[in-house]
Amino acid sequence: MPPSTRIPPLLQPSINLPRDDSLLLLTSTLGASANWLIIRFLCNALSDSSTRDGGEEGPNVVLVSWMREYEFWKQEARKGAGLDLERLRREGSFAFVDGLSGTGSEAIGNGIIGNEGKRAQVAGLKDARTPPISLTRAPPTLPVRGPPGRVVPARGPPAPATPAQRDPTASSVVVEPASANQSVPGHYTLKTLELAHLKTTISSAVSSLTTSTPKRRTLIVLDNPDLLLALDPTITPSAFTSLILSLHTLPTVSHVLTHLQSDTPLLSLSTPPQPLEIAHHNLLVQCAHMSRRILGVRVLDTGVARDVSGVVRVTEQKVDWLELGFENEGKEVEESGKGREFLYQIKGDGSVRVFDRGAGGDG
Amino acid sequence: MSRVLNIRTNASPFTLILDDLNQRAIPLIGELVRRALSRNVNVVVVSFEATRFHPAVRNVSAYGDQSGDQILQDIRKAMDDAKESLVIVDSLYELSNTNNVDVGALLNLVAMEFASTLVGIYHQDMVPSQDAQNEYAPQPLELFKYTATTVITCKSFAHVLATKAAKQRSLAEPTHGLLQGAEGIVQCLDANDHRGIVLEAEFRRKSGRPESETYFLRTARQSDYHMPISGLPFGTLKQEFVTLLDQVPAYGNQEVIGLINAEANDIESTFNLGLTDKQKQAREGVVLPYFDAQKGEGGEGGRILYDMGAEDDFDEEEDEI
Repeated sequence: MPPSTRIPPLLQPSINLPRDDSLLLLTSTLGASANWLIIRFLCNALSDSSTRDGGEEGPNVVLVSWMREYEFWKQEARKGAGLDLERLRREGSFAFVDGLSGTGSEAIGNGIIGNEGKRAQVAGLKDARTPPISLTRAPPTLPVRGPPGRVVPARGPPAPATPAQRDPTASSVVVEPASANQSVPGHYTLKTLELAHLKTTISSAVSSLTTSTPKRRTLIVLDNPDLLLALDPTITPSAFTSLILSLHTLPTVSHVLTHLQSDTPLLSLSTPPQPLEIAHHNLLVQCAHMSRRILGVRVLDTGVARDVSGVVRVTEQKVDWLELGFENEGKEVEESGKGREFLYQIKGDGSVRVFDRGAGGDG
Repeated sequence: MSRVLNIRTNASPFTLILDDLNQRAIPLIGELVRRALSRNVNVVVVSFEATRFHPAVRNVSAYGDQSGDQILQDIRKAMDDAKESLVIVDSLYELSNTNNVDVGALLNLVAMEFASTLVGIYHQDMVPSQDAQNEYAPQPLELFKYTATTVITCKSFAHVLATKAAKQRSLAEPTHGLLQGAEGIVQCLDANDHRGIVLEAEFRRKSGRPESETYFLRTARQSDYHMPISGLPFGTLKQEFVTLLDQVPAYGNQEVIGLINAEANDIESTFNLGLTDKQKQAREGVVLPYFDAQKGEGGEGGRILYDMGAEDDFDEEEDEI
């Protein structure tokens, strides 16, 4: 099926990557997951039938996911966008970096290890990395993990509530052992939570793609990196944003799409503010400041509706450092200067209907 | 304001720009940079949040693992061969929080040694981290405000209009974006108004006397500038187009405010209580029974007179006309 039918026409301008290199931000809440939107981005970038204005090919994609495993994305992409990620990966235009199963594979593999086990796991990782420092630092940091402890059980294990509603198979997928994936090209697994390791892994993923097709640019999609903040309190938001920027400076990378959670409990500060709240808030705000376009997905303000899954809001910041531009004379500015909001509904077969407020009918 | 915008020497050695997600400072910065470049001033950007720049701008990328001293050295190197420079820091929060660069040292370097201008942006919606060690030290933002010779707060034009309308009706001022309290909203719809941005500026004279004024900076157009001389990326400014906010037609105009008021006056309900033209016509066309009764011999004894419309479904068993 051609991509135009997969991507709702109203969203097409928002999903098309901006012409110049830039950063994008995607936010979602627990009730309204943004996986479908990421899939649409993948679809727009990877579908080979897309002929762009410049006759240019679509970019390569590196998907880094901390929340879901490859199987989930493969199925979602096939169902929602008609993409065969397996084939694309073999062709060298798609790479997947698994952020979750490698770092916590034992804890998840054993299945029923609770929160304490997870903590011990994280602490163990830190110990292995820098034994003398972390030993001395462990006691003061443990109480600091109060908020992560609250958050991790909801987000840490594979397949939280949201995908299970739409994709029951995802929850039953067994996470493969990390070692089995090593031989597959285009599939990488993160083994520690360290940012340096993350950076080298992503860079090697990016470079492996570009060698196969030299001319194409690369889009990096970071799915839920905010999990890192919760798992390792030593990672600061600014360290993470500088990581995003240094990924953006890799020669072939043109766009970086970051997906963060924007749930109120994570953003609005309680008194006294918890460290994780501050970190998450700052990460989101800073990413938003850096990004050219912000797409926010949330549930309907007025409550649950049968025929509306949620609201997607697109706001854009036109001026940036690259152009220092003047106002383009003409209509283009007029229509895209303001943010827009649409309602969307995800159907059972993975397709998405996007419509203006009040134009829904009873589809 | 014009002096600050045009980077006149000694106008303001340290300008602090406060912005948030609802109105980013970048249109103002763009204006500053354009004017600086048009006067052949060396522009140095210390960047924490961007990677791609206009070719005429010198960039010191400060993200990553550089230490504070290293950044200062890079800035010095970038300014070394120029007579006059404009140094822009795109996130003072980052500069002070993660790299521990002392703003005093930076200001000393830029303003004293090179007699240049320092412009710093601080995002107001960033939350300063809590530190048990120096809990009683002033927050960095307070320090910046104290040091700055000009403080400019950026606001979205649409929000300023909404605030004004609320004030005229003695209502609470509306909140936007993250403050709105709705789950999942990061940026509000009319953030970064493309018409221009509102600048609340406070200038501090040498004598210590502060002067506050509110300005409106509309989006720049190509026609505001002369043709660039060869070798320079931007031409010089033809005529100043920063105005006082009160002089902006859309702000003083009663019509705009009236529109906002009218919107607020509408009854809030889930039903649409208005009538379309077609509905109005149909309503006027209805002949009420008493009109018929006044005619001639006094009607036909209480029959209901009704003309079937196109949308009526005639049922033989129930309807008789």
